[in-house]
Amino acid sequence: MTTEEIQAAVARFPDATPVLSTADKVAMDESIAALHKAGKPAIEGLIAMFVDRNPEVDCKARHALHALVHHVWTIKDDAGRALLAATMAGALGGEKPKEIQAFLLAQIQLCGSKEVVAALGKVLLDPELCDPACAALMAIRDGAAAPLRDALPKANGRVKLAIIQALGALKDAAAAPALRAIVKDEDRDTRIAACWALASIGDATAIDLLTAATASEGWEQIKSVKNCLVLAENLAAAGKKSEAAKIYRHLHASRSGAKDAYIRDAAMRGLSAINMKLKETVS
Amino acid sequence: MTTPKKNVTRRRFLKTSAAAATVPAMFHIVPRHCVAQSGKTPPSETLGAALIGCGGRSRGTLGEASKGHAVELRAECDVKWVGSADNKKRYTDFRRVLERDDIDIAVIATPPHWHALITIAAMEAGKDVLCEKPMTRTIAEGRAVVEASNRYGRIFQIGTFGRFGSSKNKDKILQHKIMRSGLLTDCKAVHIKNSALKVKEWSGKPLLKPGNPPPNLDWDMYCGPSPLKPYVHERFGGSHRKYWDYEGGGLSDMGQHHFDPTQWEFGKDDTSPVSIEAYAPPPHPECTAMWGWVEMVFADGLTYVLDSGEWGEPYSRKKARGVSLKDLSPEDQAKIIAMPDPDPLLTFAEAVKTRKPAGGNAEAAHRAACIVNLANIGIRLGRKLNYDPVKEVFIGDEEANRLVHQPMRAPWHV
Repeated sequence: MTTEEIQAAVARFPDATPVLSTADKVAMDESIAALHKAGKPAIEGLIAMFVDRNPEVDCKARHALHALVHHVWTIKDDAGRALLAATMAGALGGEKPKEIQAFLLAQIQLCGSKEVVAALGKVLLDPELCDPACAALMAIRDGAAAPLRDALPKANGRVKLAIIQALGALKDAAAAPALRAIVKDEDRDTRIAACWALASIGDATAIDLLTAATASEGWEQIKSVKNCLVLAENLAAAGKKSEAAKIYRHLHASRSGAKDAYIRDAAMRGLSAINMKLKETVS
Repeated sequence: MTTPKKNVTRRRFLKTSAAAATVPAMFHIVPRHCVAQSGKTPPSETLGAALIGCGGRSRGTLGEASKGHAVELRAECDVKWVGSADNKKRYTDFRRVLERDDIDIAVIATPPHWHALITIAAMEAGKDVLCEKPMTRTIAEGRAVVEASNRYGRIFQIGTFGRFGSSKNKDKILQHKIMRSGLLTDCKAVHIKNSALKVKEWSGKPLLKPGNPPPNLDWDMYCGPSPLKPYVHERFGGSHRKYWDYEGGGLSDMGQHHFDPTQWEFGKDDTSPVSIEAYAPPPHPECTAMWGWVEMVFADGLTYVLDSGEWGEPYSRKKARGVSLKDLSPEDQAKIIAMPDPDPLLTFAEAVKTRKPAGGNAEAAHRAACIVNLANIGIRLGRKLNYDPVKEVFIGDEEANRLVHQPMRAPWHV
């Protein structure tokens, strides 16, 4: 497919005048089919049409690439999906403007799989790309935790925060030791994220760390209590009832003020759900 | 070697623990330390409210939250108040508002990409919540709100109230009873919504160039859990609904209004359709755009149709059809007639007072929002989708499931 043919296919996407009210589905579908049939040169050709923050120039090309993402899923073309994702991933980390790379990451979030995980790992430490890269890895799931674990020791600030959160979302048990080491980070949001990630993972060895975190104040305390409840629920769901009960009992005893009645009630409901009592029975 | 016990799933755990959620009401009532003057509400019974998101709908939403009980507005919060917030009455960061012990009710009128996060955070802080529609931007966020409501025993009411009227209408009550009875196993009803879907009105303008956000706006905080995109003025201030990052066009704007009563009338407050099929052109990656119609079918055969009438050929597969006693055998008709009417739906104020679920509670509101979100996923993907309404996942469609659960930008998570 020549550059002119790609441009002709893209031209059949609707003009935005000012909205996309004149969309011709038949013409668009024909264009998508032609672009799909052309394979990698068409994908690269579309990406080459992108410009930084100037939708008047590249609106149709971005629309076409996005439509192609849906198309490979619709026709169940897994090889085509992998080619599309890999071709987009090949444009990451280079000289292209970060806004364009972020757009490509958003498309990879929809169609990427294990084949692009390594390429995503290469942009994780870029402050402008970390968020969309993490979002893509969270969507991909399969094999996605490894590059996040590798990047965590080298990360700082918002990048570190995003990586911690992604590891929690992926429930990556292998990351638990590294996460436990940062629950006392100097940054509040990092502490909260690390505790949440450990709760999400269901890390029984983090019980004392998470219950200790509830001694904080304000927003951090609100989130710390939530993290304890989530950890208890995940432990209970994993059959670790005595560990879950330990958390519930701690919350019930430590949240003793009038304003914390709802926390004590939540702890009681948690205990009841696992058939445990507030007082530990000593046999 | 011992086999690990098969334990309850986390969702089942939350459901089980929620069963006792109405019990602790007696512990929550603030002692009446203060004696009221004649004809006035005692201070101890006045609820402190915070209004989070102070745009166009906010005062109306606050008014709804204030009906039936004494409410005092103690804090307001909006990301557009950089430079004018005092962090006493006027805030830009909702987290500081939720830290306050004198706030009992959070009234949320932000754009929808914040609804789940702030609702859940408010419940974590012990507040009851009235939240504007649509309840959430994604299906997974809606489930997270339901789980939080159960976990903390907090009251949730969505900012749509059509079901309260339906629940007092004798014809709608009869329909509700027929549908909830389980006697109608092959439902032929077709509900068609073919007006006020505002498709073109809330379609985005893809050619707008990015610029600089106004100095009073915390753009990063506004974007919150959504991707941090270059500022475009239409992404903010009501027109946010033209962008997938924050809402889902006219369908998201109006759909929960339309389907809140419908869901109650058809007895679908605890389930969702099993198939979704949309007729629409390939979607734009950022802006909401045109679509023709969406057909959604429930497991019992009930069909919902959204027919925009604004693009393409109109829907013609099925004709609108209601439910009546005639759909049942004479024996089953007698059973329906003998059935008691459902309990009246509780208003937000009644729910706050009794600690029983509100009429537009989290599960019911979530299922109504699912109609909107499922339809929008159908529109975006343009292929027939099969959905498991129990697990709340699409069957055999990985891409669709990536739209059910969309990752949030750190530090935001639910």
